[in-house]
Amino acid sequence: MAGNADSKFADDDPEYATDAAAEIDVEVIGFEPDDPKNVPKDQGDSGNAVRPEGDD
Amino acid sequence: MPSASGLSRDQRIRCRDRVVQAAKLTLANKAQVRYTEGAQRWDGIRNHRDAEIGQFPVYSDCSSFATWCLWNGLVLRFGLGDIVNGAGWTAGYTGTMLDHGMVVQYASNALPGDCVLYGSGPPGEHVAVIVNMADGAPMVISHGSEPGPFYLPYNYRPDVLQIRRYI
Repeated sequence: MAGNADSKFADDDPEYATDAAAEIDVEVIGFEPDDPKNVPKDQGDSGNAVRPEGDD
Repeated sequence: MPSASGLSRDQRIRCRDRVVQAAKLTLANKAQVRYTEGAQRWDGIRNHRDAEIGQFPVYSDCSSFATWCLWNGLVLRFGLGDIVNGAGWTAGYTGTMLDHGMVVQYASNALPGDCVLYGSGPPGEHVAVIVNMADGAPMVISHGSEPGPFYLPYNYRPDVLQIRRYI
């Protein structure tokens, strides 16, 4: 994963890092994962050139 | 440490539930979901699509989908301003998402509702929403092409740039 210039990370604080892990059902979603080999290439993001509001 | 959203721990838990609910609802209705990079991509927020009552955006791209999922929790549940793109919930893309929220340093610490941003560097090329963990690694719902969205391991593509937390 690429680094960044942020001085604080969300997971620096142990409580904030895991605050919902006990409550959220993290293992069950109810869908079977898709096979990445069968997924078309992502088309990118439309905003990669900055666009004004309303022209997004 | 203050959270990225300013919400309390209990609020964050409820917020994440709403974000995941929104992403899962859209995945469940993928046959009706279109991918577009046109102006219609903001229809989910513009038309106030509320996942809690079964509504989802028909048109979106990766960043507008991820933003709509977060909007369901941050706005519809807690009425927060645009802490995801800083554009009043009317615009945004991976570049603005990289400018907001907080970095999650380790994938094993990611939580449902966090976002994975992809690309070789800023402004990024793609974003997906984390919905659960499987064997200690995040799973995402990603809407990056017309047949999407898809449910995938977070590292389904090799250019993971950052995991960011907005909640």
